[in-house]
Amino acid sequence: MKTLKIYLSILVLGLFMVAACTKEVTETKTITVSKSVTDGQALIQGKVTYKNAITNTNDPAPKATIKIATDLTTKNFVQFWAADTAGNFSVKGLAVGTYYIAAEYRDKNNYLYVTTGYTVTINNSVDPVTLNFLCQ
Amino acid sequence: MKTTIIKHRRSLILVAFAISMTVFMQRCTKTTTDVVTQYATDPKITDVIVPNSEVPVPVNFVLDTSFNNEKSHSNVNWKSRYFDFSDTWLTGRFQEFHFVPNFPVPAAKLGGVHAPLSKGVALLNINANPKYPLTQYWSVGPNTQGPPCYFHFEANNLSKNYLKFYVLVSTDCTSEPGRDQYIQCGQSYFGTQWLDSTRQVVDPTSDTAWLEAIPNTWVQQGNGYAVTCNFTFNRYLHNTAGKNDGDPITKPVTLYLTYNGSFDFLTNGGPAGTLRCGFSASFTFKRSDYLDKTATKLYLKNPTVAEKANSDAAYLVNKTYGTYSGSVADEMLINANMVFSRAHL
Repeated sequence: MKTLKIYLSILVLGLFMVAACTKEVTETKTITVSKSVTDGQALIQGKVTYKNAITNTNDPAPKATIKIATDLTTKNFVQFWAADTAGNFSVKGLAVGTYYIAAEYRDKNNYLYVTTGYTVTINNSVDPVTLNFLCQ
Repeated sequence: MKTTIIKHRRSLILVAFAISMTVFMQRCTKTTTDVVTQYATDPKITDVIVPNSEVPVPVNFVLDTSFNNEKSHSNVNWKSRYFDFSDTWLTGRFQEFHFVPNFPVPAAKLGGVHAPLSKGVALLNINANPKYPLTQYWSVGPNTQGPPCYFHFEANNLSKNYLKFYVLVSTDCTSEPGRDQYIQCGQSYFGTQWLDSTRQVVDPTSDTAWLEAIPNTWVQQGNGYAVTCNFTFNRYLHNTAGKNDGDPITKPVTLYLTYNGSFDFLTNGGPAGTLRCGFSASFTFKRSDYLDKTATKLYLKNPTVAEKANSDAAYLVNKTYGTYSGSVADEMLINANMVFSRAHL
């Protein structure tokens, strides 16, 4: 009888514990995060074409070079990116700031086509910047 | 009595323990927290794109008749793939050519002097091409080729430009006797004809290739210029319908010409100094447009006894004087580098 009481007590204890452990509480917590538009890396994309005076058309400039300068006074180019075979390019990784960006294309006859370029002030890294170059 | 109390105490202890564990477990209740993040974006400032206003400085240069061609620093070269199956190039150059601005052709000379006097001495065949005796100038014979060569270039007014160059194809030199010597492949393919039995006097009507710009076709192309030219090379034989024997073969090509700049050497070339400038030009053409691709034998106006049978057979069927070589690719590139100078002003 004594042993039976002990087992019964342990059983009751277990039932209490199990009942207690199944209790769950769900809370909802709202956190407000301020998202910066200047911390990321900007995307500059576009197309390079060149003026083909022989056919009087603006043709895609395959493998054209996109040149980027950070010093607007000297305009010494420090970054170079290559366009694809259709003249399309994407420049990634630029931080917010001001850049001088130009393009050049050299054809199979070794003729060099250039542009006067753009001064681009990137104020946010959210919107892609679209630049189209016509080299001549 | 004591035993009963102890028994009840045990039960009480167990009940108390169960209650305390229940309370404890309830304090350890699993709590799930759902975090909802709300983003607040900073104000966005639009990018600014400003086209650069700098204007490239236009080239302002005029090559006129005050300049002379520095022939010793100029050259005309050709290259073509060997058998057209790879980028294995055959190359050569033409020894005699002229780019002189508005150069008058002396009487009885083909296209002009063959080499200007140097330090008062006539330049001879210093390359010792075995086609020519060492004491002979490059080519001889009457001038039957019409107008002189000329070259006028104005970077700012392309409508004023004109150009006519020539090379003497018999002066092709690869420095390989197996191609350069008489009856070897080079001369045969160029259609060169000889007036003497020793194969030293070239028939001038067979010797000249001309390149002449078509007026008002000059356009600026990148940092260079493109101009449509008539390229005259090789001649028809009588077997070509609508053509007379000896008619030159002329077809348009696009010439790419680059002005490479000038420099004023103030004390070089005499007390007055020398202004020098340079140009490069190149074009391609298909040899099959100028040579009878089906010809298997070479026609010669003055064949030797050994050559006569083949020459007579060729005369009946060949459509052009020069014949096509299968060991040379169809496309041939011509490239010229030209230096001009004048006394410093």
